[in-house]
Amino acid sequence: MSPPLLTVEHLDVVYDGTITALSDVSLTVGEGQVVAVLGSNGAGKTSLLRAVSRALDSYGGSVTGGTVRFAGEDLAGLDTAAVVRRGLVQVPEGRRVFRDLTVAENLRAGGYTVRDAAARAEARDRVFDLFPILAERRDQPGGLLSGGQQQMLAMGRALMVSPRLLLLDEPSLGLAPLLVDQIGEIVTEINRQGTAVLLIEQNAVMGLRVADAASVLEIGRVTASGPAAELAASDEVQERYLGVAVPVVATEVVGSEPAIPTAEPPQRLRVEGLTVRFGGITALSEVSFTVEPGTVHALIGPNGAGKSTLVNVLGGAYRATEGAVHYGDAELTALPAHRVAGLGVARTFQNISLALEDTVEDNLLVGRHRLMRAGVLSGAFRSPRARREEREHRETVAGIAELLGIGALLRTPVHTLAYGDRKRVEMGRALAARPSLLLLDEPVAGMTHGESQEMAETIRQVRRDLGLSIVLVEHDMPFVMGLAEQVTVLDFGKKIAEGTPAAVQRDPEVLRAYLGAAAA
Amino acid sequence: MKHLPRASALSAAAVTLLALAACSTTAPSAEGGGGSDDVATGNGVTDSEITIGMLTDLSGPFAAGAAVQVTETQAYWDQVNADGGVCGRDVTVDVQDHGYDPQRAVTLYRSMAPDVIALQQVLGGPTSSAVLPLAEQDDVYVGGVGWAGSALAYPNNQLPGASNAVQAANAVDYMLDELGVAEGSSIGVVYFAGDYGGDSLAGAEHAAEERGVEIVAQEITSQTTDLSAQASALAQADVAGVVLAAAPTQFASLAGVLSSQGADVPIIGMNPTFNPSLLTTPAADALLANAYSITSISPYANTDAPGVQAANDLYAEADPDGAVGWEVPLAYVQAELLKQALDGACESGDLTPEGVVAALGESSSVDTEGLLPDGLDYSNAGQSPTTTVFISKVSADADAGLELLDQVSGPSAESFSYGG
Amino acid sequence: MSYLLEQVLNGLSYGLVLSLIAAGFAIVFTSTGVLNFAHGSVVLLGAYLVAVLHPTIGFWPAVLVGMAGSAVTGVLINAVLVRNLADRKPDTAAILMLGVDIVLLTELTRRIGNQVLTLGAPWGASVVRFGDVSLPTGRVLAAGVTVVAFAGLWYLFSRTDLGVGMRAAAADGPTASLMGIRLSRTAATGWALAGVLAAVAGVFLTSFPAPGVAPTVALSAFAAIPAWVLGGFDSVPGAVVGGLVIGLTSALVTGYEAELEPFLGTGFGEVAPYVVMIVVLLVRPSGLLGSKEAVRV
Repeated sequence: MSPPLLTVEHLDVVYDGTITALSDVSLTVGEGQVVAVLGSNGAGKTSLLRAVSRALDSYGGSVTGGTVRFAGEDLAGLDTAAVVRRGLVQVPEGRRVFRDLTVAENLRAGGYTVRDAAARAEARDRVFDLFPILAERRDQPGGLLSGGQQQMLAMGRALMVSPRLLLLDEPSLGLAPLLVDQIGEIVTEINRQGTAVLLIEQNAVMGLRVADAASVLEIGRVTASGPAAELAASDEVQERYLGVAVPVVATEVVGSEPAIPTAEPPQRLRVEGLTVRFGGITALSEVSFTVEPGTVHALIGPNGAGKSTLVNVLGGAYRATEGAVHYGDAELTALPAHRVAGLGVARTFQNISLALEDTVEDNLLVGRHRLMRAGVLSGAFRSPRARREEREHRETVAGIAELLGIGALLRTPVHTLAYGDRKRVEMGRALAARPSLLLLDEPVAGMTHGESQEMAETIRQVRRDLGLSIVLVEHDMPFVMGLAEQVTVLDFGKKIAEGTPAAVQRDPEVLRAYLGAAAA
Repeated sequence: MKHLPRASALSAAAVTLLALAACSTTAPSAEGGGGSDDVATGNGVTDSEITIGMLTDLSGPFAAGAAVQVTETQAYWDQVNADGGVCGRDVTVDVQDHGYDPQRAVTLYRSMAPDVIALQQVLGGPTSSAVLPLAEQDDVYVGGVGWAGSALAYPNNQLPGASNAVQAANAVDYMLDELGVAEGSSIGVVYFAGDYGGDSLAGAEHAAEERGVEIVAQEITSQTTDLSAQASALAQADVAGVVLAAAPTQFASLAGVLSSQGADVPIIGMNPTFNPSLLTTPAADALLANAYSITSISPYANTDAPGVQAANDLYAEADPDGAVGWEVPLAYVQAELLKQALDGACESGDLTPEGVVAALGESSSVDTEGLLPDGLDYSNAGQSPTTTVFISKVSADADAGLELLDQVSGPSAESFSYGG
Repeated sequence: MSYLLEQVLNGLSYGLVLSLIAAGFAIVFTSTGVLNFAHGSVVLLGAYLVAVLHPTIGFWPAVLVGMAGSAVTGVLINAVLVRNLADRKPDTAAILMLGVDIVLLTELTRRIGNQVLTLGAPWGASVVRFGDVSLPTGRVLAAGVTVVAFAGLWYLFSRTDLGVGMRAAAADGPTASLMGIRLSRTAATGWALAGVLAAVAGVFLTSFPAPGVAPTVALSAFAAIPAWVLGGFDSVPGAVVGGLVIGLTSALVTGYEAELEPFLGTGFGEVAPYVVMIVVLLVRPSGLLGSKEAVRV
């Protein structure tokens, strides 16, 4: 038997000389195999791919131990271009198509190392066979393609060198379930045509479905590996990555008094006939719903459904073109953003926006800004009143950190925190303002199933202890189902369904438009 | 200024010493070597030595021409020292490089001022504008700052010949009197933004009013190396002649383009606008046909003037391979002017910075053996020391490319006055 | 009418020369993210080499050497200085380039001295006449060569692997390198191209109607900066449009200074390009043809 196509043995990777990303990682990819590497954010999956494609240098990383062999040859000392010429090519995370280059030019750049015109033409024909839409849109700039088409282009671009091994970094990230299925089929098809694939996935369902074998990577180490079917059946993987072991429990409606009451009790949020247009594009069209005080209300929908637009209107960042939003008696849509905060509405952001160099405590104190009474002058002279007030703020912030499970991290700079903890800090900053309505924009984006279950628990606790209303924007369906009392489903800027999670889950409209083939 | 062999120079120095000793009414001290006498001394003067400063540009845009001037200046003072020095003392030149940076020029001036009696030169417009007011406060002589009228406001400054405005007024006069430009026609003035160009424009405008011609002004900067648009505009305005207050690059471009457009009109460049290397450019023919140069100082090729001959000989000996040009006589005459001021201060027994400035202010008829027009009058503060300029024709035969035609002092140059 | 036409043709042909320089700025910027403030002295270097070498090896071979010399200088600046910069920040590189410019310019100034070196261009001071409009032959030639140069650039960037690779590398370096595109090579190509364009521009900037090579040529190269900025930092077509706009503006403002003087005063021709640049940037902050986020971080 010939040696495996790719052999990674005892690989150690370090960034900036000090930060260990991988230690003692071994895996193999055989000729014609699809191998998946699963793991949460920060597990070192991307570092593994960069080590194999010899692209670590430009990110300040280096291989400090172990070997990577491709078709028997040690890749140490080669640069990326040399590796590509040997038939090993990586598709980067986030697709990264060249937006200003046309589809045809993107493919041409992909085939940069192929000097033989005939081989290149053949490769391009194969790409067009695989992705007819690319042939159709060959003269359009890559940036105009939809997310799924960009993923196809990114894969097609890599296929231009007719690789023996294709490295795929999170091909399903940020795509709607329907598209994820399609990408999975394409991977299978690419493999069927003779290309081995090393696939990195957060979406373990997708990864395990297309792979022959898989490894689980956690904090830079391989914690499990074996045939995909075997792994899929293991309890640990099921619980942490597939969400199978945890039954979906609807939250009981809270009747108890909150442990730490908010400054003001939550009010009813009424969204009426809300329409938002940007230029000629209608992002939201006549959306209406009501959030009852003290409940968790979820807004779900595929990418581009208008969820973030809605949150931005509620937070005061965007203006409504038509319609109105009332919070209690106040008309929220008539107020500027800073006045919206004054009503007791706080939000988090989809992409974490924290001051990375500052400590957790300082970041949380930023959220108290609205409530600080002492003026600049007395603050500067550290009057007794200012000092007393500051102490109170620090106590409140500490209490919130405790509630979110980050109490021990108060003095830690944010940039050293893990992803999940950063998300908690961001939520803490919003909570520090003691809002009565909290807007959470994709709080579990980029988290594994296990992590998102922990986050769900945190959100439950926050609602229970602080007694506020929560509007939750999410596209992770199981997450929402276990958490919200009411769900509003958006698609293409319109409300297509509303009701309890159970009711929405059965709605045929929702199944067709949102959940895709996997759920049907 | 004769050029003396070393031996006779030494004996001349000895004679001077003896004469000084003999004439002295007070008993001379026994110190050897230097002239010890009854003159008052100040900054930069010891019993045996006089130090003068020179702030020049050895690393900036004017480094090449500045180097020629430094060489010639050194050679001049070496010769003076060989001939016995000034007031019985050797003259030392402290040369510093300001790199055309006003900030640096000011710093250098500050550190130099306590140790020099006068400044031989502060080269460059912005640098001298920065130093002149400081030197005026300190009552320190400054020479060699060019010909801009703005420098005349400083009584401590000695202008080497006619100011830019006087040159430009003379240019207009010369066109009407000698080059057949008729009254009522238009004359173009192409000038650099700044003191030099502005002063020239003022002179030309004054002359235009006196002589009944129109001025068509075009402002440019030193970055403008292609004067096509300006030339077209001048041709369109049908000018009968052009006065140029810019640099050699602009002179050649303007002459070339005007000629290519069929505008066969005289072009008169101000002081530093001509450079012999222009005669190797494609504009050479046009320059030879139509270009003139007005200078405050005699052109290099005017060897009939004994001063120019002396200057050229001195330079040829100091640097046989050096580039020749108008800097040679200029450096020589600037040193000569300072020497006369130092001599004057010595004679009045006040060899101090103030004494040198006073001597300058009292000199109402300075001659420089043909290097500058005779009879320079520095006693009328704020006005050009002369109204006479040298007019030359660009010529392939003359050394350094300029053949002297005449010394002129036109009617509007004579009627021009600053602040009036 | 023929006067207007003459000024327009003058402005356009001068603008094309400016656009060669502006394109060099843009190419270096897109291929390495560097604001190359040493470009002016590279222009001067190209012209200087031609001026010095033409008496011995002839004009056309001297032009080839000048192009090669400028190209190699650009490649060396990139290889020795830019790539070894500890922090790869654009502002640090820009300041470094200012330093390079000072060093190069000082040395060239020292060598040129106060001379005006003739370029020895065979077209001399001749002019071409179209009816009653005349244009210097050098300008007509410049326009022709520039058009050919830009056609060549267009072909390179849209029809060859190298050019498409360069655009890919400019758009997203790390991703391009995953495709096997060597960034060091695309960067070197960019600097070399800019050097060649600079030398060509230098030849036309210093031949008739300009008299020859003097240090101020490096400054006149800076007249291309408004063209580059208003075209949009990262766009070669933008550089062409920018050059034409700036050339035309300064020619017309200068040519009609007499008529414009009551409103604008004298000397506005020198300022006009910057005024146009500022007005354009107020209306379109990313320039005429620049991409929205021109500054790479």
